[in-house]
Amino acid sequence: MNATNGISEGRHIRKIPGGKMLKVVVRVENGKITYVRFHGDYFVYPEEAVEDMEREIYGKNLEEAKEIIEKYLSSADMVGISVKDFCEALEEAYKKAR
Amino acid sequence: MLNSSKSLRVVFDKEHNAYENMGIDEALLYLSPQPTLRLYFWNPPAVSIGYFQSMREEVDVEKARKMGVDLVRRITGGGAVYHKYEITYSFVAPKEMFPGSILSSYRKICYPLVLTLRKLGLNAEIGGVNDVVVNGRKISGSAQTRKKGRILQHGTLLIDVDVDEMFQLLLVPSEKLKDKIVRDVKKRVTSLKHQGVEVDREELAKIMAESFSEFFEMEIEESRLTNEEMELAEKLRVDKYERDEWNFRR
Repeated sequence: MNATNGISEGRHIRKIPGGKMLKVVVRVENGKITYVRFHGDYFVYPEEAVEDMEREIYGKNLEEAKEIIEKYLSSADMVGISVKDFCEALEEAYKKAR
Repeated sequence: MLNSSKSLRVVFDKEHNAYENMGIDEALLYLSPQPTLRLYFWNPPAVSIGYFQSMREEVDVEKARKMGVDLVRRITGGGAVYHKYEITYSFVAPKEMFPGSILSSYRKICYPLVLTLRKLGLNAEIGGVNDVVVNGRKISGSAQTRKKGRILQHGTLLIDVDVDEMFQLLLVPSEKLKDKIVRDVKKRVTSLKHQGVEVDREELAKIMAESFSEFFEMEIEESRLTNEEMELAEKLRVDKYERDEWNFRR
C-alpha cells in the first residue's frame, strides 16, 4: 500500500496457469478507482477492448468495475487468460490499495 | 501476379531497425493483397514489448539506451522479446483462411516453424499457445493481431541466445528472485546453436519459406515491398513506432 493525499495505489501480479502474467496497477480514492492498468503478456481480441474497459472503470467502485470487465471481455476473444483472472487480480490489487 | 490466391508472396527482407520492422509488418497487414510471408532481421538489436505491457516495467530503459538497443511496442500482444540472434517472420493473410478458433490459427501459422526445425534434424513441436519447442525447450514465440478482416502473426526463431545479456535489459518482478528466474529461463529456452545447428541465416529463411509453402500448399512467389507499402511503413515509423507516445503509452 502506498497512500498520498487520500489516494492509495495497489499492485498485484497474477501468474496464470499456462504461463501468462497479468500485472494490475490500481489507484483508489474514497473507495473509487481513479486509475487502472492491466499490463501483461496476454492476448485479447480486439485489443482496444482492454483500453476501453480501463477508461470506463474510472470513478467506479470495485463491484461496478467487475461488471465493466465482464461486459467488455465476455464478448472478446482471449488467449491464455480469462475474465475471472481480470476480476480476481483487480480485486487483489484493490485490497492492497485500501 | 500478386492477386493469385494460390500463391504465397514471400519477401526475403534484410536487416532493419525496430521502428522500420514494426512499420513494415503493420503496412503489410493493411495493404498486402494476398497471403504474405516476410523474413527479416534486426539491426541494431531491440527489445519489443507486447501491446498490453508497460515499457518501464519490462525494460531497463536507461541500460537499453546505453547499450544502443532500440525499444518498441508491438501492435500484437504477448511478452517482451530481445531481438538479436534470430530470424523473424511475419505472416499476413485474410481471416477467411483460418475459419477456426484464434488458438487453432496460432498453431497453424506456427506449424511451418516446426517443419523448418524438423528439416534441420530437430525434435520440434508446438508448445503452449504460441511457442515452438525443441526437446521441450522454447526456441520460438509468436504473437498475432487481427484488423479489418486480416491476420498478422509475427514471431522469432532463435539462432542463438544469451540469457544473461537478455536479463541485463529485461526486468523481473522480483530483484531478490532474479538469479533463480535467470536460471529457470536458461533451462527453458534454447536456440539452433545450442541444439548444435549452424545454418546460414539466408539459407534458414529459404527453408522457412519452403515450409510455409508446403504447409499451406501455396507456390512461393518472391516479391519485394511495393512503393505503397514502403510509404505506409515509413509513415508508421515516423508517426508511431519511433514515438514515446506509442512506446511508453502504458
